[in-house]
Amino acid sequence: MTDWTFPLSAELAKTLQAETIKNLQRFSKGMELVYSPKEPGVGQTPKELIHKKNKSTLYRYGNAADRRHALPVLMVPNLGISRPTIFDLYPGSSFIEHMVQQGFDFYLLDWGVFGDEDNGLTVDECVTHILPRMVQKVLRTSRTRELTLLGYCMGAPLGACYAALYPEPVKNFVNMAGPIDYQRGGFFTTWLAKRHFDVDKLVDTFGSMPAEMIRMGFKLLKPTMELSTFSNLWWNLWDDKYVTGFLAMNKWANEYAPFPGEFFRQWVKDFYQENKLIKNELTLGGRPVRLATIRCPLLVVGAKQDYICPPECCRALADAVSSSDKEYFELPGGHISLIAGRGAARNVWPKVSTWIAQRSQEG
Amino acid sequence: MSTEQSNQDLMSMWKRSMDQAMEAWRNLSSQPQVPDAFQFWRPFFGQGTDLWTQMLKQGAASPDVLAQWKRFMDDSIEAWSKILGKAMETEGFAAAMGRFLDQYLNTVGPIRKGLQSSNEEFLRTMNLPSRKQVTDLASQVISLEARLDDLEEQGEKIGDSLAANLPTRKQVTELAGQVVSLDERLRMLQKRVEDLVGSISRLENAVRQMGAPKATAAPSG
Repeated sequence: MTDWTFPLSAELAKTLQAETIKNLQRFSKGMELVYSPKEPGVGQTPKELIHKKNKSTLYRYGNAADRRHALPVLMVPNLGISRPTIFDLYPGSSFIEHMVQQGFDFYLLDWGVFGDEDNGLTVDECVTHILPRMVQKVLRTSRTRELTLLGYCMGAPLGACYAALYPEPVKNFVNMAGPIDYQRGGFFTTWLAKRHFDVDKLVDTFGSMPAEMIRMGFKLLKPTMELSTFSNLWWNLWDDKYVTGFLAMNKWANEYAPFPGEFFRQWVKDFYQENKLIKNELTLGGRPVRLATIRCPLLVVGAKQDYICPPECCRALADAVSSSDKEYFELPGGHISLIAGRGAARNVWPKVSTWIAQRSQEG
Repeated sequence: MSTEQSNQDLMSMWKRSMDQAMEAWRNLSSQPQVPDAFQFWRPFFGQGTDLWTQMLKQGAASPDVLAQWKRFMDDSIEAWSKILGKAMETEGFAAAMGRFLDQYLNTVGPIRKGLQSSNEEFLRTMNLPSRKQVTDLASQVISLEARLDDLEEQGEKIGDSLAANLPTRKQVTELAGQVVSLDERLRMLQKRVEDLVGSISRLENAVRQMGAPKATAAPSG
């Protein structure tokens, strides 16, 4: 009788075994996700409510003992579109947690989810009423005269308008992927152009810009996104850490927030269609907004593959201000890669926190 | 109607739709300004075929076939994404989207208006508040809240200016020191006055004692 061996090398058998185990894990985790999905615990960094004005809320993060820098940081995110949970996804993957760990007295302005009763809210009111009040509250709470203003996405142009109108309390300004020159605004500039998009008709019909339409617009930016997201999920389904991150991110990605009607009308007309901000033609609260009045240190962070705010669109701020201390920083990735994910934690957050820390002395 | 008849109908309907689709494609390809559809999709299909060829060249299926399949999926999705991205960046796409939105609003607008007025009428009959009334009420609450916030802001400003005019701790300490010193001096002054009063009263007594015998001696002389 001759000896018979299975025609597989030891190495091949080992790989086959590992793959089989991975697939079994994928299957069991997949079942768990479908039949007993866990609610992801987003926004776990300790915070306290400082002030509330209509739907907008000001939060202060961290504990007094951990604060090492003299100047507070106020983060202004986008109004509408999505919720600010992306900034504090889960422990170990949170921009806010990083900033608190770096010793910053960190504040976040959550614009809130606006309803039909807020359809009269305008960009004017946000920049000349809500923002000044929130800044005042930050200064009062932290007992300082100045702060660092950090704008992300649409929060950056709103913050820039504020800094141009009220330069006194703004010691430093950071623009993270915030559109400034809308002539170079990519997809949205083409789609929202006056010749194609009748914003008056839309706002007059719905009263607001409904969350569902915003979702559609953003999904159109990258129609294959869902496919690649779920293909990656299936591939990494065996990895608990990946699944935790996916759940948190997915929760955020599916929470769309509407725009108040008048805000959207003004936003599309003045910013996208007429590009008034960079042309120095914008007027808010009866006062002209001139970006050149910004003289404080400025950091602009752009992402190479950003479809929402292409790098050249946010970089324009560096050319428009009068600051002598200004820096532009660009890295690979998309709009969200700047604020969430491993790449952001490794490349962006330390850069931003170090830049602010070096300029956080009062006086 | 028999099952056979219904199947026949379905078949003819399907055939008709196929014919219409073919006709549409024929029309599309006969128009000179329309780009060559095959040219348009060739990069994507080419990439897919190249990938499969590469995979097959690597030999028989191995446990890594899943990884290869994933890579193929990712590359295909990326290729699709680039193609769609290019198509959506165009003015033509934006114009088509604008037209679609316009038609959608033309349809939805009157329906919404009609529904709104009939709903309002129904709610009025039922003696119930309409959505608009609730929204208006909420707007009033927001406006009241804003006024309260303004008042709070004013209060804070008044408090700040008062606090700015109040003496500092150092000033109060200096003042307290001055008061203590004044108190001390007053006490010394009081002691001196008391001493002086004592001296005067003693002097008075002495004067009184010196003057008394003379007064008594006068009547006897």
